[in-house]
Amino acid sequence: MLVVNTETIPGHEIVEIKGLVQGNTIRAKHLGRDIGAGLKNLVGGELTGYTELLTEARRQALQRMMDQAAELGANAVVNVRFTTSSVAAGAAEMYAYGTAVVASPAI
Amino acid sequence: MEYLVLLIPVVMLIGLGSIGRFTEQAHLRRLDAAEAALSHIAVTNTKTAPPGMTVVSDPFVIGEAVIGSDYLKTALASLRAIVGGEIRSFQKLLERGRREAIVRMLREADARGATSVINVRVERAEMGSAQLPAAEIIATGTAIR
Repeated sequence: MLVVNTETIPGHEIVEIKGLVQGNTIRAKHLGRDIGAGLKNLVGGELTGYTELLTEARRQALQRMMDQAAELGANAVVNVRFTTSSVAAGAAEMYAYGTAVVASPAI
Repeated sequence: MEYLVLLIPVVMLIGLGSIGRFTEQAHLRRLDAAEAALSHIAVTNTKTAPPGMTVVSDPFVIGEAVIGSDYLKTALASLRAIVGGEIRSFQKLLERGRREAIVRMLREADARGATSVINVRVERAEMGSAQLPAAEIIATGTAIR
């Protein structure tokens, strides 16, 4: 599945629009990570546990979006955007959405 | 003599803060080197590609970074809030987060054989993960060649 955040796919032609597809995930951080980050916060610097959390959440949301696109019979998703929102204390949502299309290489 | 006890947290704060400052400078130097090493990739935040260019096989490139503040930075920021003005410690923090996320995105693009990354978007990801101020950044782009 071809995924881009541009409205068109360079070198490809969009032949059919299948519609909006979306995927989300809500993640709770766990205590171990909090303790690790608390210690790291003494001196500052990268909070690796939280970077991993962000990466996992983003992958999951994208995967769900791509699954939906595949169900619609699309082979690409264009104009993909991410949005995050905080649902409750300690829980945050990662939301990915885009337009599912059928694309073919330009001749 | 009892007053000396009161100095302990201050000394700790400054001590840890200096470590933070040292790691920050080291991080900025690492970023300079990484950006120089990736400078062969042209980066734009425009949506269109030059004619004749095509997307790489897995074109959606992403980089994330969460950089945390330290207690000294946070304390300095609250002092700054009394008199107003620019908070340099947080300015540096967000700069580090953004540059790190962009560098990671460019590494992905480089590994996929891209010569250019277009439509770059850099956003704050509000996962609310850290208790203390932190720069949570996600950078995305489309890798082409």
